[in-house]
Amino acid sequence: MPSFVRHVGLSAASGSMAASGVSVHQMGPPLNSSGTIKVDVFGTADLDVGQKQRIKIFKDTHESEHLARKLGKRKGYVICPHVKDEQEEDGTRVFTRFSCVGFVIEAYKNAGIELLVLNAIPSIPIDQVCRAYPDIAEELKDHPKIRGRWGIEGDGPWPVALCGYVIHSLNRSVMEIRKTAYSPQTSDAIFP
Amino acid sequence: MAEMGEEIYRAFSENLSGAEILKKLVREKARGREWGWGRKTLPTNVAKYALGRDDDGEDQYMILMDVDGKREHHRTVKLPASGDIQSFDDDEVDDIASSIFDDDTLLDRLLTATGKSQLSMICDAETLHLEQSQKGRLSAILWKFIVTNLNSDNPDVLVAVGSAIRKYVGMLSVDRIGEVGALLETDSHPMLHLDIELEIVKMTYRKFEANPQVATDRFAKLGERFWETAQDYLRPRFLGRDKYAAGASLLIASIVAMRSRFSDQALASALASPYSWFGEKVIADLRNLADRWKFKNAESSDWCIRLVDDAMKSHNGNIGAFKASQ
Repeated sequence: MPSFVRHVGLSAASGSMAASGVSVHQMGPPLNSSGTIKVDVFGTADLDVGQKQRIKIFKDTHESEHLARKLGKRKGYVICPHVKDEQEEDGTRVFTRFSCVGFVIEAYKNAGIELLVLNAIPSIPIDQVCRAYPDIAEELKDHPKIRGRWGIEGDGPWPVALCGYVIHSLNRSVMEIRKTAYSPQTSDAIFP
Repeated sequence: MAEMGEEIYRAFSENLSGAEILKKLVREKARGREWGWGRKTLPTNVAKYALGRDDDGEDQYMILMDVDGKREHHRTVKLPASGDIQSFDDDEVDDIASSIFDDDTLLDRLLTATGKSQLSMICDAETLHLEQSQKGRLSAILWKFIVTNLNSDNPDVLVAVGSAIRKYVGMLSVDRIGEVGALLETDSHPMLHLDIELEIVKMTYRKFEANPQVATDRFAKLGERFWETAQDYLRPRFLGRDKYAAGASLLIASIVAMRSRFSDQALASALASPYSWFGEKVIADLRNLADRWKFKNAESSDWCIRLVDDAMKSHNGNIGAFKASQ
């Protein structure tokens, strides 16, 4: 039955996906490499050893930033854009915020694979954003100031990268995944 | 205010869930009714906690109350973003409360904070966007925290030290980046934890990424120190281990970004690694660096591209010669 894809992470190991308890690297939040998630759907681009190592370097580079967010009380998550560098005045990047799908997109980018055509991500209204984030739907809907803190300023619509887009991108031949980034449609929020 | 207290009282009496109480409070707030923390507006005896938002509607707070029937005091703490209901013990309350203060107050509290509260505030300070005068205050606090705790073996303290390093280096002028190299010197302290070394190197790279250099070897000592460390990390038996590859790639990127005299050697070593993925990663990083520099300093960007191209040609030539000799 087609379902809205709520969350994505990177499987920490190759092989078959058990229906429950798969170890993942994920932007929970916070970003962590010790979580497990129940898998309803998965995709793969058949990464080689080098690509996996490059993803690992990417994760290792950012993980401490998100451990600090966990130890403190301020957020390291952003809804839109899918990735955001927090910088000092001179442009020095201090830490990076991700959405869960943003972490996956950027990890693959570090492995040399562009999963999505980022400037083709469709803009969606607040109701659809809330569908992706039911836990904070009320505050997103009723409080524009709070929306701003999650990266979605104003009244929208916003080009929010949704988890389903990545699953649709990976639901192609390996050759196609490696060759062409996927241009998502709003209907791709649901899979299959 | 009494009215609002009554609302909360009623909400608890009705056995509403925490989330429902939050909704109720938000609705009341939207109607313009005041309620707040630090004021004795809530009835005792019945309430364990109430939830609400601050005056500008930005934060969620939890009001904790003692329920001993005799005394009333409540504290306001920020609720985690999930909006879930949680119970906090007294230690946690202080810790969580640190996040509700404005920037100046946070800096004041940082001066005297200890234990978990201090660690939490140090991490929160990383996210602040401060005025110039506040930056000076925070830098002094962070530096003291870093040098005091650099060699801690407590994982949470190390996370806070890493956070302090990121913010400190982030705020530091590029002219003073050489000072950071002192943290890597092992003469005055034991060998640093790998996670800390990684943060120092990462932030050094990011500082140069934001501030392209024109002169060669302006930070000679720092470059030398980084090259020494890079050679350790690049050993094949280390490179495959947890976090060493991240450290090695950042070290080499830093050496190039500061335009150290060791740039050619460092890049050649990366390409000569038995792990071809490592060389590919370094090349990809340096191409990104050249891209980032393009609009800041075209000359530096061109220099970086030439360096990469020359290193690739030389590397491919060496491979060709090696194959021909077999």
